[in-house]
Amino acid sequence: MKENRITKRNSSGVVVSYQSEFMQNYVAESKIDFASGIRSVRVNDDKAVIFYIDKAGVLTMLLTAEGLGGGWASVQLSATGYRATAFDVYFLETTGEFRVSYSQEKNGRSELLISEELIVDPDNIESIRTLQFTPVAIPDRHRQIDHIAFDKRGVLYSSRMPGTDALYHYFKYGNSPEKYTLPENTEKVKQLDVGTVYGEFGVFILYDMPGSKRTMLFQSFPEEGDTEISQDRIEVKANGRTVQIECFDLVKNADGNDIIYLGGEGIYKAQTPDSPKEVIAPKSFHCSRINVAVNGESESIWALRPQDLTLYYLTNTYYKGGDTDREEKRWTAPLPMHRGVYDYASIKGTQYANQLFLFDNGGGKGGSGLVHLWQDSVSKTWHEDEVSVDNLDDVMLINSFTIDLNFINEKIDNIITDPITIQSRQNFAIYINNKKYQLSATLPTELPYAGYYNIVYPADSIAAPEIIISAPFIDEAIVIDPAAPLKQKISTKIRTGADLANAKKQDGTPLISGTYDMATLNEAARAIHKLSSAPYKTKGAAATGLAKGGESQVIMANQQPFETGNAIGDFLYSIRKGFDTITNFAVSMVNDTWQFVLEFGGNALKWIAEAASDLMAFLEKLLEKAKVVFKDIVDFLAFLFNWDDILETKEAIKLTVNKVIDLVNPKLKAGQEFVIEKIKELKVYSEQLLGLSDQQQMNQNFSSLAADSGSVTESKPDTRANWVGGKKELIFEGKSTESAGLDTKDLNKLSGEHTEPGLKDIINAISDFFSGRMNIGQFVKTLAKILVDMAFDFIEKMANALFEIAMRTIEIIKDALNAGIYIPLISALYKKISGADLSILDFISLLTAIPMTIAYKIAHEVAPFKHFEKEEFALRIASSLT
Amino acid sequence: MPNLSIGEYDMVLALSAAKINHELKTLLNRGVINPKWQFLTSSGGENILHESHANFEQIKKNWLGKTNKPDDKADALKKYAVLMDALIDPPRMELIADNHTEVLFKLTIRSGNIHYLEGADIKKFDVTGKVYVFRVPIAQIRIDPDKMYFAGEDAIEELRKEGLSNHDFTVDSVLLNFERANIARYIPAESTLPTADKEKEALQTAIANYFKALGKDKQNPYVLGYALKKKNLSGRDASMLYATGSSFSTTKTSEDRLSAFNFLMLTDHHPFPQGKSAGRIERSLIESVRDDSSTIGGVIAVDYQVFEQAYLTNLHNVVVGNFEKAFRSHRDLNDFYRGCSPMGPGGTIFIFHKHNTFMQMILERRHVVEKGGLMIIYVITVWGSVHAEIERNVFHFISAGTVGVDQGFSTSGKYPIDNKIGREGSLIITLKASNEGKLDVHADYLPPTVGRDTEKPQTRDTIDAVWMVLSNFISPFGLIGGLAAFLTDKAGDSIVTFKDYVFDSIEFDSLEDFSARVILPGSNVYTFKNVRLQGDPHFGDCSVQFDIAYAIATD
Repeated sequence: MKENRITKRNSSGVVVSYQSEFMQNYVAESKIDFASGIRSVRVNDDKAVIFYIDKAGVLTMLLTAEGLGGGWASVQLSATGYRATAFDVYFLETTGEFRVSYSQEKNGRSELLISEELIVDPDNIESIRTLQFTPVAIPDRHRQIDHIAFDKRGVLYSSRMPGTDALYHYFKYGNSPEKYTLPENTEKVKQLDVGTVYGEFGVFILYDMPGSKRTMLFQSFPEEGDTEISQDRIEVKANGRTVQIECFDLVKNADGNDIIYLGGEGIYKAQTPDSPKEVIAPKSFHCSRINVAVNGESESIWALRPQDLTLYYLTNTYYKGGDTDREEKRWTAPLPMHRGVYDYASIKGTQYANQLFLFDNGGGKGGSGLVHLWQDSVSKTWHEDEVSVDNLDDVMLINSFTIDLNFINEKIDNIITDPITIQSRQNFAIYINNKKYQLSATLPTELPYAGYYNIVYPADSIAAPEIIISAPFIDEAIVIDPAAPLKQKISTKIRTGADLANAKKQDGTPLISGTYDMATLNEAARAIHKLSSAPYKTKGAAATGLAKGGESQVIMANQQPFETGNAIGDFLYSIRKGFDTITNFAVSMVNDTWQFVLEFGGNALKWIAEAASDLMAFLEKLLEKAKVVFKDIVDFLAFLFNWDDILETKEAIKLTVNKVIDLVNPKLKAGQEFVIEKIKELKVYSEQLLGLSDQQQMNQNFSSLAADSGSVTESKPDTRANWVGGKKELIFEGKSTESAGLDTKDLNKLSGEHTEPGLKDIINAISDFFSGRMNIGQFVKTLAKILVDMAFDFIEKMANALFEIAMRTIEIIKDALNAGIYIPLISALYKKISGADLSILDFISLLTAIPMTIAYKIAHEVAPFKHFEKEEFALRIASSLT
Repeated sequence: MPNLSIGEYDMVLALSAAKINHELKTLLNRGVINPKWQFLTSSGGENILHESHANFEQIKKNWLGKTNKPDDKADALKKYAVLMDALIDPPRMELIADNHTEVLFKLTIRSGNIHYLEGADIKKFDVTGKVYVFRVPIAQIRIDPDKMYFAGEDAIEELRKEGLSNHDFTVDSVLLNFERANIARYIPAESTLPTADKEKEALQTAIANYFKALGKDKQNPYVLGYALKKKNLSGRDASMLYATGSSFSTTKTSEDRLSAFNFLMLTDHHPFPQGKSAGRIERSLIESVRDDSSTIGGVIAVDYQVFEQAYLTNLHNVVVGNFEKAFRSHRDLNDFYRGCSPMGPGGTIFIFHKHNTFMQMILERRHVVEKGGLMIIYVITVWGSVHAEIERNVFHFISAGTVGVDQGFSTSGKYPIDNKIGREGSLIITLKASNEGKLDVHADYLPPTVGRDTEKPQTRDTIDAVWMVLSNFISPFGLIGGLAAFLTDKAGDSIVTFKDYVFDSIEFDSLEDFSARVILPGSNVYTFKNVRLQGDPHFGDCSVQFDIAYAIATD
């Protein structure tokens, strides 16, 4: 069971041990509701602040919760009860000037609000939370505001009302909006934005003319001393015909003028409205939205194809022959990257070459949350996860590599104060002790020393980049390849095509559903086995320092030129999303390094493994070739929480406690010793029954759960069984633990009546907890003093105490134990898995049941209560009392 | 009857003077007009050397004497008398009150110097802030399909080998007649010039020769023709209202925005109007804009009669074509419909005849009004009759010959056929300003219905009438029953009973095609909105007008 745990001794006396598991996990976060309109602004290289209108019509802002190590936090900007209709965000990276404006509507009346200007410190974007909005007096509130765009000078918005011409309005800060018209009689503006042409400030408007023809116009604002304005029609011609424009985006050039990107029938770029249009994508490529993200000279365009809502990626960083060393400024062909996209926003940065935030239709299974898709600038690989906000009242299931990392200080007199640093081979977001951190390939993340770190590595692929741990007190950096145990598992389980064909997922369904070609399976399985069982040999695979990823090379196969200019990472993601199929593959060992070749669409992609994750990435392609996708691998090999089994165990414990309480008759005090003896016997009996005599295998006891991370000194149990331990920050250090639903009057009275110290403490603790005077952490610590470790001890203590009190009060205690309580994460999780509210008794039983069940299953491959009935279990214990 | 409100021309595009000056500013700001005036010129303008010339700098040095080679200096001095080295402000065009055939051209020098030769010496003076104003006459142009001429009293001078082009409506082309301006004759009251006569003369020489040189460049016979790089305008189909003659005039008002530079246009090779009022537009057309925001820079007005002849007549023909197509293609009507004939302007009679049934449908354009666009209201009336010879049987079995009866029906028939009484139909066509100089055409059609004009069929003569009354008395159901039988007779059913589809099935799809026709000139330069009727079509001085915006469409 512990074969996955790796232990390293260091000269400092600190023993480092870690274990990685490919497993499901839970984070105390909630998804973002599908919404309309999304904007993202880049703050400080790679950090994004996101704005969108949620389902309830509320304008919401998402920002990284805190510092570099933050997850996402959500801030409500617009008022509840109104429907936000449009918004815009202005942020000037160079000065930090920041403003938000939005419109909202209620009962057919529109409002426009604008925030004061903030100067945002990129290193402390928390100040954005304090945005204050002021309403702007707008004329004709019956007109609906449908677009807002603004900049340093002022605010622009367009409005419409059925049967009237569309208008747009502009005001400089502090002034009243003035109304402007369009040159045509037109009812609705499709898109508008403020911008500058030849130094003239004005508005770019895309709209339908009468006769349902699309047009785009730049119209300047009147300047001081001139009543007239400049108007430039922006049109693109191809083969003598005007090209339909559906969307545009603007990017400022060095002079402050706007470069115009046009999308529709093709994608075009123009320096000015009247300059020649550069063709970025041909007329045959249709898109309904484009979003241009720029970082220095490097540009990315995300274009949405309306027919199937497929999002395409184009970049002007063109790798000749796919070679990242041969870079040209030239546009790549549109590469499909994501399906079913409703809305999206993108930014470009330094560590994350590209970041994209999108709402999709969840592959037809109803809208998903907000998806964050990003490209690591080092490896050029793409990753995605669902953006979620910290929410202790909710819980999200994720697939992960979960790592338990322990530092055991064997020299008591050696007090460690040095922090440890953690770094990834790629830029990546992970959870460390339940807090989200953005790991960087170049910038190590520093963590204060603790004995125990729980690292949850959200996975969307089996190719997980290695993480590197360094500290002054360890002899050499520890490189943890999270996927190594999984690779080993794959090597054991897949040897032949027949293995693949016969493999069953954990729910009993076949791994490969539908038809398959045995020859392909054999071929794939052979290569999978070969790769997964061989030790990693990567070029320059040094444990220290980071390998230069992404330097993979594409060569020509079959003399076919391979010239689309994309990086390998782009293709791998596109293939992964099902936009292309691998037709052939090859794997070979050249000079002690793995060399891979993938063939698809008549092209061959050849590269050399630079990091362990490259090998896994290729392995994943082989599995995909055998029609096994990531989701299948999860169902096949990941550790899955089987909550039904855990709940069975929990119910058994809970039932036992309740039965014990029910059956205790203080009048038969004479039998007390006998009863306690019986409970002890039963404890031994059940431990033997459950095969849990080894305390080390079990969960940490309550007292250590409640203790500080730094004080952990003993060797650690299995990562999977220790799941509760990994969550203890959330559970026990929750800042605002609440409880409700119990009248503590009777408990207080009870406490006064009794002098038996154990019972009094229990009662007081329960009373304090329910009346909000004690948080869960303190509560558990208090209980731990009395109730030693396990549920059986609890039962024993409880029974013992109960003999001391009156019949009436037993009921009070029972009620208290069964009343609903709130515990971060666990309450939400419990609600999700059982549909019921959590009580103290549920909580105690669950905390015992999770490791008990998992450990039992790891040892016996079957759940404890598959062997015997929980009722019988409870009854045997309880009945022994009478 | 000449339309005095638009200077007796067929069409006028009135562009705000303020807009023209804004565009001149834009041309300068965007570098289309070069603000740098650096050149050497001889006194008479025979020799002129611009800074764009490869050797300009060297020759300039030579001329200024900054060379060690006396020969070079002598050469330069021999050829050139004045060196201008200045930056200009955006030039301005100003209208003159009570003068609609000339404009003032105002050139302000932002900064710079002029050097001039006085005897053997080179003198220098500062021209910063100097303003040079001169008059420019504005021309009449005649256009043939492939040629354009100045249509003045002088000998015809060919301007170029093509008709009115896209570019002629751009501001760049406004001041077409620099060549004929006496640039050397400045207007002292409007100008700010150096006080010294020699300096004044040098400035005058420089400016006059500069324009003179430009005038020689036939590639750019336009104002400020500085190798103006013409925009590659987006192509448009030829407009229905194609100009065959063109002239210009101005209308000065107290407000700059409302002062207009008028592109006067003639269509269909109409002759240029003569006399004092020709081209004179007293009330600026821009005063009638519907959208008075800065978006709008002018007005285009089309004489109503010209509009009617060129557009409404064509539109009417399309409408007639739609009816005809429907009548001819309908299987129940194709041997009933016999053709149509015009009935005055905007009217057509459709004739139907089959067996004993005769019918006329009259389509008549009755009003053109302004209501959410231009509304063209057609009224549709129908009249006809059915004749039948009805066999009379006395006492049900004795044959008594036939009686001829006629049943009249019409759109004013008060007695129902198929539960419907007569009602005039209507076709309301609404024209709205569309894109690219087009009019959006929307048809709203209300089919006519017919009722019987009389309660009972009418007999043709007295004998028949007597006989009918008599036989009616004898056989009370005979006549009506007989006609009813006829009316419901399968063969004639659809005709006489006027099943809804007779008039209902008219598709006005070809009007959609009509929507796609470019009507107005300059559609790649201007945008048109708010079509309206200025004046009453039944009287003179009526025009169809649009607000226009100067929004050049380029590729």
